[in-house]
Amino acid sequence: MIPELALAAALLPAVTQEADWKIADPDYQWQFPQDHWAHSGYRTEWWYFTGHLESSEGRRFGYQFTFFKIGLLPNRPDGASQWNAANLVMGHASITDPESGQHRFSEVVHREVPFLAGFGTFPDTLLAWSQAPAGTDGRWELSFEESGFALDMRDDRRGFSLSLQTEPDKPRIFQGPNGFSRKGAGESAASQYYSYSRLKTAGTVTLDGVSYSVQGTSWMDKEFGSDQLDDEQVGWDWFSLQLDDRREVMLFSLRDEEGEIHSRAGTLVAADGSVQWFDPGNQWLRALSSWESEKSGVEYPSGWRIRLEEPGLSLELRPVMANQENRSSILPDMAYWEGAVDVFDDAGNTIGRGYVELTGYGDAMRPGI
Amino acid sequence: MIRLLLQSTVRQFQSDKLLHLLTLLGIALGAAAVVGVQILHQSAIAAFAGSVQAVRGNSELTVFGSAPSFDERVLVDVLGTVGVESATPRVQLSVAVDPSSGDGFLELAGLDVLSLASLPYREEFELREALSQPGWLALTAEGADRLGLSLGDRVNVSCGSRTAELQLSNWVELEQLGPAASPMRGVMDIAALQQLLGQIGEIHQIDVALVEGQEPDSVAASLEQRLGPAYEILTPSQQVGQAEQLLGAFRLNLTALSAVSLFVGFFMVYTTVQAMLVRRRREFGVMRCLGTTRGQLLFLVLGEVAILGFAGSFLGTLLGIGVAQGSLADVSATLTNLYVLEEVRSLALSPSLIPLALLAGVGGALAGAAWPTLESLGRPPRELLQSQPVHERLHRVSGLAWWIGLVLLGGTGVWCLTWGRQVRPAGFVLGLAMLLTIPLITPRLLRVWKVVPAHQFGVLHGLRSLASRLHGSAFCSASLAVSVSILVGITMMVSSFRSTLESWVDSVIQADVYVTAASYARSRSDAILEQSVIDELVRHPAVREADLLRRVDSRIAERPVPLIGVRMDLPDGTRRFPLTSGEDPEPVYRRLQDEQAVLISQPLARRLGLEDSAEFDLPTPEGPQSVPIAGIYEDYGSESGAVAMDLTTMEALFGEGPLHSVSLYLDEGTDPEQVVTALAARLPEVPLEIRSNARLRAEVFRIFDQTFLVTRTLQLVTLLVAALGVATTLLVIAEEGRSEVALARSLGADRPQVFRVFLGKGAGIGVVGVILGLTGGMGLAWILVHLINRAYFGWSIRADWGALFMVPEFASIGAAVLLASLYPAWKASRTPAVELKRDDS
Amino acid sequence: MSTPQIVTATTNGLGVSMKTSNSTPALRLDGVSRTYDGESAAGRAALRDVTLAVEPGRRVAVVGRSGSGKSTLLHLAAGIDLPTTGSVELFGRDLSKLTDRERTHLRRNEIGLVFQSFHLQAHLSVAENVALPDAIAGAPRRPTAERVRELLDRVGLGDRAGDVPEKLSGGEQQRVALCRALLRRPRLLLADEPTGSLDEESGQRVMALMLELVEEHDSTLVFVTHSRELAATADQILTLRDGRLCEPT
Repeated sequence: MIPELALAAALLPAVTQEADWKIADPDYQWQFPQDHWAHSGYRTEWWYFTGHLESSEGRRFGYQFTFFKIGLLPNRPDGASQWNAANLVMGHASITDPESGQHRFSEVVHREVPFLAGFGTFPDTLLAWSQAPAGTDGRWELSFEESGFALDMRDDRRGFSLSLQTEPDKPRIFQGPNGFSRKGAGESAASQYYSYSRLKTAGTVTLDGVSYSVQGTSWMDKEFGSDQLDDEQVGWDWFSLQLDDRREVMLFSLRDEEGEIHSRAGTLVAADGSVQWFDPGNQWLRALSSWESEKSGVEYPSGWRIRLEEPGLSLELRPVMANQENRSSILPDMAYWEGAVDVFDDAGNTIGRGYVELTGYGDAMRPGI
Repeated sequence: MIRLLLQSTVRQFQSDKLLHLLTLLGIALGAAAVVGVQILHQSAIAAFAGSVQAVRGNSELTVFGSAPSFDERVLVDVLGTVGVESATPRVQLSVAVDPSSGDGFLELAGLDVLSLASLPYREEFELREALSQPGWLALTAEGADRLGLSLGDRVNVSCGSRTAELQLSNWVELEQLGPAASPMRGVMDIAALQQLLGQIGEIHQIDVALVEGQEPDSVAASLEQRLGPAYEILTPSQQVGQAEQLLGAFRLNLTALSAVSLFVGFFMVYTTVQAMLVRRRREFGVMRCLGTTRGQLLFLVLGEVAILGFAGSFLGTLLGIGVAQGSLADVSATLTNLYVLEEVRSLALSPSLIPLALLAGVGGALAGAAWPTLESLGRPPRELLQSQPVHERLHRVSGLAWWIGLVLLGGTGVWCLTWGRQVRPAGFVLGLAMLLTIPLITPRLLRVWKVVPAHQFGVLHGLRSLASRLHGSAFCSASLAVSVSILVGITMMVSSFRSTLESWVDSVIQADVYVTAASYARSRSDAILEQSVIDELVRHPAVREADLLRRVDSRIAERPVPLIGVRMDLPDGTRRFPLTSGEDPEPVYRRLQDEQAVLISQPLARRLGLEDSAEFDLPTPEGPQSVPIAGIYEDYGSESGAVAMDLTTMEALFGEGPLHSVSLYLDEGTDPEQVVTALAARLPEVPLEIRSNARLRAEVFRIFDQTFLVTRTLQLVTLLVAALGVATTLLVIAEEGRSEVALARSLGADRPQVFRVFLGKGAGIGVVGVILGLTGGMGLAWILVHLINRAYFGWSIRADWGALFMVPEFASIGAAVLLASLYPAWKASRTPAVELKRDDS
Repeated sequence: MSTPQIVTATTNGLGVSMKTSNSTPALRLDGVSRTYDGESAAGRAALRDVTLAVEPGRRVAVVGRSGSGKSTLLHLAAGIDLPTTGSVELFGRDLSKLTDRERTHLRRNEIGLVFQSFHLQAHLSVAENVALPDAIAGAPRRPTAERVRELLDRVGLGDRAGDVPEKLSGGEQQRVALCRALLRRPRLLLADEPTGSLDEESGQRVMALMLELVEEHDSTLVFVTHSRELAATADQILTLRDGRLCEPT
């Protein structure tokens, strides 16, 4: 569900009284495939890919690829200047390479200007694009064709690129009834939210000039809404788990400043694709240890025990690497942890893989969604 | 020894307060001139550097086009270049503030989101507001104050014929980033600025931050290669360097002048020290006999001088700051008018001024004292004890010095006209030789007073006495001559320049009414006249013919060069660009229309060595293009040069583009002023500068005169120092000649007679100084006009020797010398006859 | 001006000059003292209570040791210095009662001065030096030139008129100075050690010339000297000791 949108508070302080923005609607009329494309009038929207890949030589990678649409204004201002834009386009990509112990992060932020970045419109295949990060030629692109999503990014300076095609292995699911995912008590505190919990993924990963032909499984989230956090919410812990028995679990909880869970939700996708939404309760998550980032100084929980009464699951998650922090060099104070984890049962057997996202740890890290 | 030094300094100062005060003042003025000029220059550069600094963030390189604005899509290429960490586009416009909200210009920067959000604001910055609120503007607090704007107030500004209503929505504290920058500065969203006042799709620069560890030079090289020759990639220091280069000639001019003040101050020190040595000869002789070493005495004397110099430096620094503060407004106006640089708001005082002031004051004083001190203390003690005054060695060497001077001047002159032709500073070398020759030939010249009959004890007697007592008077005359030379030389250069400009303006300013946008003076090619405005102007019934001007600001050989497109087919329009060759203009103007040939201005031709070239490479958006040169025209508008062509040629080279100025030719007998009023009434909403022929001329000369105002201030300082020099010398002569006066008094000369004798001495010094100065000044004027101006500005100036007869200039010199003679003469006349016996005892 | 018949110079009652004349004395000092400030708390007296009179046409020598007040006496006589007390009269006019300008003109027209170190102007020719008093007085040029030639011829320097003083010997320079002093036919010639800087021979020659010329010009001469021998050529000798006038020897 909530892929983090950690746009620094400094850039976009939450505006509570913004009548012009559209807000999430429980009765939203979904229409696919059009709803894969961008929705105007919402303050935030994202296409969020995380996944586990393996090269033909057996080398394992974790990856993340996201396009954010950050609404500056509900509508594009009038005027002939190309710089008139309603949105910022932000792209994040990271790769986790347990073999070398490296986690790399790349980002782009541009105003939605015709020659810098933008969003496609149905029926074009392009969903979102941006100029590559400074120092790299070319574009980042996310497109949708009948067979699935394709994503391309490159960052020469950080020395990696992703070029992946995905194909749904299981059907699209809604997170929450009719894809309405409540985040808090406020009227706007919700999002339109759907996922592909299991995408067959193939393509190429390049690391320091070496190309790896890769295959694996991805998870895709698509979410849009406006002013989704309640005032006292500072961040969230979000989990997407793909179990070897072809079940998938999505869990999140939103925290307040004291670390108290404020709001939470869970989705269990059965092997046949049927969906069960449940309340995991206040006690479902326990951090096993913590890890402190040297670079940002932020301390994150690291390793978790998850107990879910309702679906009856008891899991232990261990990060494949401790350091999977994404730190922005463009937006000050923006850092979050987005990392690949392995899933174990109580006996210590590997029973799946997943991705965990931790936001709002550390001062001034409250996402500006 | 130090204590002895201090005691002795105080005693010396007390022994002749006036003489020491005058010398102190002389040193101080010399140092003040040097320091003042340096402060002004530093301030101008600091203001520019501040403006470079103010909005650039952490960027280490900036991309500029060869024209002021360029296609915004270049940003994509910049972003794609290896080593670039971030690239931020910027629209940068000078806009004219509507007179209703205060006069003047604002520098507005249009920035993208992240740059805009990262600036320091006084109130909380609301990005959405900045992007969505029409006319959102943040100004510096001081700038807002000057315009009388409070938060929420609206202000009308214009760029070209377009106007926009902006709203002061925040205060941006740019002064934190570039303290010396002009406060008339603001920021707004790039989209808003571009579409309200700029050109769609055009930006003015891209600020580039580099990946840590990347060499700016290598990234700049990659960018240059990628973007091609139409773009220039500069580091901030290179930008400042360009401004410095642009101001180079301006600075050189002022620095040379200030050095002259110092030079004259140096002579004063010489004279004073000489006098002091004469007076204390015996004292030194006795001290030597008592075992004081020569080194100790040297330390004592030079130490005293150094203390004087130190005090002079201090006073000079204060005076220099005062001079700079006083001229700041004019210098600022000159820089904005001539070089389209930033307004200079405040003085930039840096610690480097201290060594400069010390060098000027202490160094100048010690240099002045060195020779007489060494010469005098080098003598054996026995000689020091003798009561004879310093032997007139100068008499013997005056002939030799004369010839050395003439050979020096002649030799340098010959060098300048032959091998030195290729050397750019040759003019300065010759000028320096000339200024050095003056003191060398002065002693010999002063001896002409020998022919004056001495049968009358008065003025003539005073004149006559100069011939035999050269050592004081020669230096004084020489320093006077040097300052008069400078005064005359520069006055003549300026007036020659002015009269040349007058005849040029007569030829060039032909139309009856000139129309530009109000912001044209600053924003130049950004100040576009919309076609509808032009149509309305031309529609006036009295308009017989209209010339249209399109301006493309370009850079050629690293300096800004305006490219001017006009209607070359205008009837009787050939005088607008007077050809230097004097040939029949008709065929030349035909080539401009038929062959897409261009005219280049004389400074450009000189700078690029194109005098005999048939074509040259003109930078265009498609890269350099070879264009035929139809001729070279006289131009005094841009010292970096200019290129003129037909509008159709410009369109072929640069594509279609907007116009910037309209010149209207009216029907016979129409009153231009009435048309000006009528046009303004026709377009009340459009911020236009509509000038009649007469008003434009007046404006040209106002700017010209303002430009040379600082020069005149410095001239005045030099003259003042020279007058002080005359006073000092005469005081010394009065001091040394006490016995002579006493004799005359004992022979029955009354006080008025003695007074007249000293006036005669002053006059003798003055006349030689002035005549020599006049001659030298004419030479200097010739050098300035023919060598220096040509080499540094590329301008041909027709020497206007008529300026020699400018009464006020000479009256002022005469008055200065006379005034300077009065007190010493009065003091001498008070010498009692009984003084004589001292000489006998 | 009424003139007293008896002119007797007395110092502390001692008669000095006994010659009687019906004319005004050329020079008359009456109880003159001259004290200089600053030399000691009480001041140092260069002359003390000097009274004397010099009749016109007389040749008077003033002798005394260094510091005895000889030069002060001469300066007072020339009006270039004024007494602290007492009066100095020149041809019957009390100098203290004249303005500086009047004293200057009196000096210009009535007094000639000769100095030990000649005081010729280096930048002027011999003739111009001699002509200087006329130049100062603003006298017409031509008669002056004739007078200068006459004087120079008289002292044997007619052929050196165009030279600069530097080129002349000491004796010659003093002869030039003598010409300068006599140019305006002064009634009183004051000479301060006129031979002091000269060797014996030229000294004697200058002295002789001076006496002759004074005679010819019908002037009164007061000269200061160290030399008994020269003093002996005078009609009268005044001896100063510590600023006081002594009895004639």
